[in-house]
Amino acid sequence: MLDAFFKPASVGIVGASRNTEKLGYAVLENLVKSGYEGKIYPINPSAEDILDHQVYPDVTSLPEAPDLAVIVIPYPYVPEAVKECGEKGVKAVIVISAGFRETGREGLELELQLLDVVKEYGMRLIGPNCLGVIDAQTPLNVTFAAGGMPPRGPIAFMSQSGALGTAVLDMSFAGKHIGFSKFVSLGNKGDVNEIDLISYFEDDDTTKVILAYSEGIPSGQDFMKIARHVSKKKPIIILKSGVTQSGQKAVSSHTGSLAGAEQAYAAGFRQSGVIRADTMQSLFDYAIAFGYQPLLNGNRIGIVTNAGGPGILATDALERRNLQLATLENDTIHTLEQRLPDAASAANPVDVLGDARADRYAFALNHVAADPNVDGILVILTPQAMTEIEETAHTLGKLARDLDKPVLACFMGDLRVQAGINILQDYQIPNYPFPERAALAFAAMRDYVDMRDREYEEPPTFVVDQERVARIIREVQAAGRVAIGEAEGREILGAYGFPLPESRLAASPDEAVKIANDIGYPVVLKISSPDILHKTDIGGVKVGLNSASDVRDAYELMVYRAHRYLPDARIDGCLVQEMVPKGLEILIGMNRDPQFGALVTFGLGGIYVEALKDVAFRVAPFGEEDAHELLSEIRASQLLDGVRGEPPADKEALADALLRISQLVTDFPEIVELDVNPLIVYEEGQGVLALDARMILDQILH
Amino acid sequence: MKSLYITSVVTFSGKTALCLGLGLYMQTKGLKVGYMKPISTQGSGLGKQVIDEDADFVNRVLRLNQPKSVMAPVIVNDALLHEQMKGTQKRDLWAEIKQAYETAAQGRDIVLLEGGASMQDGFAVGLNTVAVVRELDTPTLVISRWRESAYILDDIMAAKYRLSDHMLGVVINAVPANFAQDVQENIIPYLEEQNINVYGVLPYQQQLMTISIGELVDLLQGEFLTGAHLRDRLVENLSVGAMTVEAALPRFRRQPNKAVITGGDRADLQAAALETSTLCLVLTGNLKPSATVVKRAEELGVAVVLVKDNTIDTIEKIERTLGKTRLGQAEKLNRFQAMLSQHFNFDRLLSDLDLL
Repeated sequence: MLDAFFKPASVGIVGASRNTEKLGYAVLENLVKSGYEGKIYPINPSAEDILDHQVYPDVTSLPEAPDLAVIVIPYPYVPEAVKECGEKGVKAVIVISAGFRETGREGLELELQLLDVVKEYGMRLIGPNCLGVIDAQTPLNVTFAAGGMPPRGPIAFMSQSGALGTAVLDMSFAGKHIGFSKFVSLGNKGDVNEIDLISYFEDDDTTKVILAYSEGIPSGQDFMKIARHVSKKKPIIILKSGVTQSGQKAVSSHTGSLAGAEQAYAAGFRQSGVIRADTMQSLFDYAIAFGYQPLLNGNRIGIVTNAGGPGILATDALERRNLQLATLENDTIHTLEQRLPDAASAANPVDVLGDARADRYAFALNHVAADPNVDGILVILTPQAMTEIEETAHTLGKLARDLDKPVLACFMGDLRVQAGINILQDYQIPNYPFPERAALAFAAMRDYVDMRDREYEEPPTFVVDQERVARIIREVQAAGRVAIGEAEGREILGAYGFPLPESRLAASPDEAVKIANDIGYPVVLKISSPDILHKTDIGGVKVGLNSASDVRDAYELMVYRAHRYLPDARIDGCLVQEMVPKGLEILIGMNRDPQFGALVTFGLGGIYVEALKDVAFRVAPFGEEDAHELLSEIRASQLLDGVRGEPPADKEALADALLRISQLVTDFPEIVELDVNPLIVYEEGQGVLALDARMILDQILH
Repeated sequence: MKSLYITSVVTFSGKTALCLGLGLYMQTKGLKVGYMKPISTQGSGLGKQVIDEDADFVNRVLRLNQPKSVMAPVIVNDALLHEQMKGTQKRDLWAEIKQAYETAAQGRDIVLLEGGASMQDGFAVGLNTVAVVRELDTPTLVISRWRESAYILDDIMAAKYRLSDHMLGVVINAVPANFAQDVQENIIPYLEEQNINVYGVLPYQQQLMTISIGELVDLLQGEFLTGAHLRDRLVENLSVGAMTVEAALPRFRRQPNKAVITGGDRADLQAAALETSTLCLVLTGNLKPSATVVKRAEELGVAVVLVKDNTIDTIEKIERTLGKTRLGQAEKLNRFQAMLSQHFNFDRLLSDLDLL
């Protein structure tokens, strides 16, 4: 369906102009000069011919329906023109014109009108308010960007910002190793968005890596489904902006809806195998590594350098990103030692010394590259007196051509190394001005392979009592409440298979004593009210009550305090609970993200969550491997393994609890917040106990 | 001709509402009702134009057509106080009150006298509730807003001590549901035993403390960007958005039918509010929000109001008004009336006043 944007048999340009100052001219000129071989129909009511092409007064009078129409006319006339396209039978429309959603209220209305027309005729739309589309293969260029066709290459790039697109195209003209298979400016994303394009590029053979600059993914769950699939085939690298508070503000202002949380994007991308770039620089640093080099299968890097300092810098950078400095085979080291000068280092990083000419580089490189312990090679060159920059670049290029391991170069400096870098580019070897950036690119490649090789596991389905939970939720909603109190929360967890300590609600001191006698002392007393969120703040939890009189006193004091501090709160009484043995306190939470849906939080309870913010996130539903990864992802994960002679915690039971929560929040989208705090985990084989749970339901809107 | 003085111990207890409720009920029973507020401490306006808004409202709803000088003959304001202190105050306030009372009572079966904001009003100018009650020899109904068991008894017993035989009984207002039983089982029997008639126990009703979107807009002199047709909707909660979205969402999710006050430039919080049950966005600082936010609000049926004040000033203005919500809307008055008919023993009161 999206073929019409990239491989149209004919293109109509509505608003083509003779006036070289106008966008309507620029688009036509770009198309003509791109070498496009299909039919071109400039459309303009008052011109005769432009750039040797016959001009038609309107879409209706075209001899055929073009596959693609590009609209470059003032915004008020756009919906009408698109309607004409629909009538004629056009399949795809690119609206370059601005003046829509981005300008305010009236523009927004106009855009909605435009989308209605597009939908009515079953067309697809890119834009409005965009730069246009380029396809290097077809070839086709229907943008108004200056400079003509960018260099061909393996990168499919989509950008929500048109201006950023022009900057990136300009960079590519300057020869920064950037070459495109496809280029799409998404504009306001009225119809076609990142998800559509990622899905389309999956089967595009000219695209080796998919790049996106995005201010927000339209639907996190749909995105994850597509990305999970496509990322198995080719890397997807996304720069997501608007992650800070002010950034989110800007995004909301753009879209009118709440931006997804930073943690949700991080978790969602990771779970779907998407590589996240934090900066524009890393977006392209990664893109050229993926685009021009074979994948890094492993994490052991061999370094060849003509200077010690940069070699150490590279080593540090690699280790920081969990890559290893390859340990060379003894044979390799011996061979290197025999032929390299005495002062050189034959161990990795291999230092060929400042006086190394191209032949010495060639010798060292050949042996390092052939070493079976080396998965990827970083070549560092500083321009010293004897250095043969260009010859070394050729040497490196020839070596890399026949190698199935990635080679990244770091020719440091600027003026003197430029000729060498240009040669590297001819051999498609990415060059980074500093070793740290090359290390980060290697790390991204390693992360990708790790994510790609992970099997997607279907989340397990436990046998649970869904009906009971549905009933509780209905009751709470019928009472006009949004908060689910502890007693109800416990019942819900019980229905989903959580072990709970014995606990019963008492509506009077006498009843509390009776229950305590049944359960056996000591007991815990907790105020029960859907309106009290932090029980401990008002003295609403009392542990270690050893006698009937303790229970009675605690009950009375607790209810008195609750009334005093929160006169309007509904108080159901107090829960009398079995006093459970000490264990490790865990928190499992869930917050429904506007973009990605249920975002599950895991952390150790108490100060670890509150003060240290030591938590890990996953978008639900997730599988067993993710559940176990959550356990190891927190910084305090060692506490779960047992430190200082403590026995290890029951990780199986914890993972099981996480999976059950994942199922609960997936089954019941009306739960918008959930906190199981604390969940107590005991030593291996002893399981978990959920002590307290609270949930918030979606308000029935208006 | 009978009279009934309605007073309270603390301000904003519901006196005006009760006067209206009783007045309307008595009118339906065919009684001719008069009304006045002997001492007012809440005049608004300047110079000769000073009026008491509550009294004016009662006057209009009961269709009494009394002039200001009868409705509220003595309005204690700064001007009067200064004259009093300088010794230049030459009015005979007692005479004015008595004369107003006579006019208000003319041709009526009963005159309802509304007390000042508390029982202490008027001392500064040589008047006070107890003195007025004695002087006019009026039976008195005390309306007492729920505080807590101990305090409410203090309030009522203190009123009894001050008013002694002139105290007819009490109405306990705004009792939270979880105290209803305690009030019925313990407090009422105790008070009755002390010869204090309990005519009614009114439950706490959030809606009566609410403010309509229209009132909010008028109060803040705001401008509707969308949703002007939602003027009559009642806002049940107010929430201020001045934090991160992360912190705001959990709050927003717990407050149904709310108005959210936030900066016009806080698109993130506006969007977060729209994700939850919100009736109105009050955008401060005269900063226009983005069109997409307004559009989304419109789709969701949420009013968006632009105000000139910054967030702090806006909140202060609202706080000064809330709690003291006037029954200025038909919807609220109807609800209060319905509540009275269910929880107030009119027959007993009328019988005690010899009006049955």
